[in-house]
Amino acid sequence: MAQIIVYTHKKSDGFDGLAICTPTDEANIENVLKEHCPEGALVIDDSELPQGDDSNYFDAWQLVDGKVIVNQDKKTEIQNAKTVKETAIQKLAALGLTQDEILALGK
Amino acid sequence: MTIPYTFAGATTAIPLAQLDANFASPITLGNVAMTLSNTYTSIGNLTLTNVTISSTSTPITVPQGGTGLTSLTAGYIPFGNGTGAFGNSANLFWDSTNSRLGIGTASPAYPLDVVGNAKASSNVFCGDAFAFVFGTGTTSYLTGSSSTNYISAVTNSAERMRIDSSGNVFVGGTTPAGSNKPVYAQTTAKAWLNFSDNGTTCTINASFNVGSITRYSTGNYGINFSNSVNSSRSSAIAQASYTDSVNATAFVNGVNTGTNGCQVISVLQANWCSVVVFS
Repeated sequence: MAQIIVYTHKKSDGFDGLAICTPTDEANIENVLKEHCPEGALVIDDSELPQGDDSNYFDAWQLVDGKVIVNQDKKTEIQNAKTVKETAIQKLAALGLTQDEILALGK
Repeated sequence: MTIPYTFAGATTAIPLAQLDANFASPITLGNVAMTLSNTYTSIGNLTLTNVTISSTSTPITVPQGGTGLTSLTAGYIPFGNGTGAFGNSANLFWDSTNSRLGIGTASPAYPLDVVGNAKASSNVFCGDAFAFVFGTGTTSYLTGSSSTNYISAVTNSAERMRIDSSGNVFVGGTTPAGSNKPVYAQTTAKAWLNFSDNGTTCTINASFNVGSITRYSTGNYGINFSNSVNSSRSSAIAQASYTDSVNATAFVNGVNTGTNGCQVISVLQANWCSVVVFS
């Protein structure tokens, strides 16, 4: 278990998501909290973060009342986007594109 | 031999063989050839003038109180050479004229002159602000001081590198402003970080001058420096990988001045990512 810092971070799509700041061994977490994080940031144990399948939907995580939760609407949105993407990849693969070529398209 | 003896005006001669005396004061045996036939275990306060010692061994050996040497070359320092004799060699030489000791040389040029390798199992001390000089000239050397706490390297009579009392390393000068030479080594990096991300937490595998890493969104990270980096002279590279053998794509979206660090965007989620910031 390790201590981390979490705070609300507005994503590029406007969603009030989460930022997670992990200190290195060369830094004191209190100093990191003060120098690298905005006001309102919280120090929590990383065991309090969503686990299992929810760990695949970081962009749906939110800080609500001092707890990190998964916004289910945002999670569904991300799932749908993933489905569309995976379908596209399958179709591209069926057309004979290699995995590297498909990945290059994603760039 | 007889010893003249005068008594009551008459002089007689006493054969030496009949002399049995217990002298209360030292005696001197001058230019008189004498043979002491017996073994004397103790002779005190005895002065011998013009003595010649004859021995069954030539030269007199160490057990007999000699050196075992037939001659000594000027400057050669005798040393134990087995149990029976001293030895001497040109490789251990004392220059009494200049007070110099030579090891491996019979012509020492310095107070201690060693020709060949030297090894110490403990510290070798050099005077404060003096130097370890390479060659016979004084153009290239390492110097330093314990009183002002620095170490510097000099080549071609100019100081090229200095480690100051705070641990700063200056190359090409002794101040940050004067330290303007390229260093062809890993230390040119101002910061680096290798981290893994399992989707929940980031794990720092290695870091230098990085205080923290922040995940803003999937594949989008910010790195915060421990000490300021000047963005106008910095650049950064990043590498990401799915596995140790399959590369992914990562790039650095600029380096910020100060401790704000840089933003790393890994386009595709990777198992680990490395970032190095140069300046």
